[in-house]
Amino acid sequence: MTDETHAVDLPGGVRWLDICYPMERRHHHISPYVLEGPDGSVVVEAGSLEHKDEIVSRIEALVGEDGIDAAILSHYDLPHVANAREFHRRWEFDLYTSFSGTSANPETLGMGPSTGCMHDETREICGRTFTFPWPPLVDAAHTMWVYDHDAKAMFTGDMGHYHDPDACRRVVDDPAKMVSVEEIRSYNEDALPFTKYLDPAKMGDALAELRERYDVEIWAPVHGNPIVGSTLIETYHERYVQAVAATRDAATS
Amino acid sequence: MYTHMARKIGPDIYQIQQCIDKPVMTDAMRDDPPEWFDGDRLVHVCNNAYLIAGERTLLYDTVSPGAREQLMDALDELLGGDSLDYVVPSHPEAPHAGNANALLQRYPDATLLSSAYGRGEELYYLDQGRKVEAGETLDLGGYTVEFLEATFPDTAFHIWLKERTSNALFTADWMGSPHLEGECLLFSDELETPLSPEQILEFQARALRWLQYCDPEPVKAAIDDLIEAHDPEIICPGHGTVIREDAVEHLNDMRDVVDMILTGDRLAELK
Repeated sequence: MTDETHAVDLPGGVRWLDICYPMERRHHHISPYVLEGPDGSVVVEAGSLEHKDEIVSRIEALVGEDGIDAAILSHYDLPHVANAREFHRRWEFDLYTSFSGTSANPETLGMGPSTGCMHDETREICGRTFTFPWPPLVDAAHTMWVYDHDAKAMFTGDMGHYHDPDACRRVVDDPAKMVSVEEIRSYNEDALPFTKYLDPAKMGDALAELRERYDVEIWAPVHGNPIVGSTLIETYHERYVQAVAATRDAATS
Repeated sequence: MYTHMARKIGPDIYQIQQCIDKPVMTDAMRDDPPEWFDGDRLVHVCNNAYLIAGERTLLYDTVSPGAREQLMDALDELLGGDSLDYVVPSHPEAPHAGNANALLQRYPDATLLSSAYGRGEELYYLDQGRKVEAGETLDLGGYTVEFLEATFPDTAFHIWLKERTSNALFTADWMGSPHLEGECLLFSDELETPLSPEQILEFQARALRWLQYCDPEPVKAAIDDLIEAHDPEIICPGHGTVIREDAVEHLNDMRDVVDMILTGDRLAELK
């Protein structure tokens, strides 16, 4: 049953904790996802410290006061991991990360013990099957994306877009709701300053390769509204490539 | 993990290095070992912090929280009871900024200076300091720091800097390189095997993963611009060996590194 107060339900037992941060004209999602599995609940990403109380409260409302059974963190940047210490303080759960073997590993950062994940590795977590794809767009070195086989959902770390203030809860499940090129471009230029060097064709090929390898029905960015349906995901990728081209053209003009 | 005490680079600029064993990376290299590799020694990747010690002192980058105690010990020794005046994270990732808050608590008179290039500084705890933009300078008394736009960034809130007296360029994630066990804190001119594009590739392809999908022409043009604008004598990367000799030649070598990344396979993780 959808609880509109705490999360937006997506297909396949994926619940989007839509939490965003107001920028000057647009909003910036920093939104974890909770996935219900037969053996427990999994949170993908931990959100920003700015939203600590809200995230903890929403998770407990969704899964109970004992909290989550597992957490998966795509990389160690603060908007993705900042609440993992609070999670560790409150709940007992298994932690899976891309950065367990680094100088900023979860134990060092106060998040407790963790299991390191490798690219393309597949694991059963709480009765769901996850693979950790090689991501074509990352800012930090130790980044993995997360693919949930059960819902066919791809969680995409830092690849995202802004949204208008009236679209905070919007799920893109209709062409009329599609994210604009400008929303992608403005996010990229603020958050991923290397975008000006990217080759749009290479990005397009990388995204197509990813779609070919993984059957994706939910595109689930931390920093953006989720997109549901393979045709809409392909449209989103086309717009993504157009946004990269626009940034490159502006930088070289 | 090893943290080494500081080493003086030449002028009153000190490198503080945190080294990390990389067993997965070491094993991956055994199948097709590069010239600089020695299978009997572990590969290390490092995080560097740099202290510029004029009449006032500035620390560029902070190494990661795992080496907090060693960083504080090194600073105690280098500062000799004086305070730290400025803390400048090159960008808000844990290996670069992870001890910034702890430093501000230990040195309450210190000022946090962070890049003005990004939005949502509260999300990265950067709202407690002062923003700096490219072109601003800071007189440290005997040394002058110029803040530069990060030519090759990964995240938002990225800033590079140049120290004008020594003509040292501080490049954060650009031009890092792994080294071997036993080579910690050595300069490039002291390595057994001269620092090569192949060695830099091993770090660069992993650290700036976007290079795999870049258009090489604007990247190479930016390398040209960097050389023309700064003609550095010393290069101080955030994750590698300090280059004291032939700095411009090594900068030019980065063109080859970019080509190798674009034509090579993806490399194993940095584990």
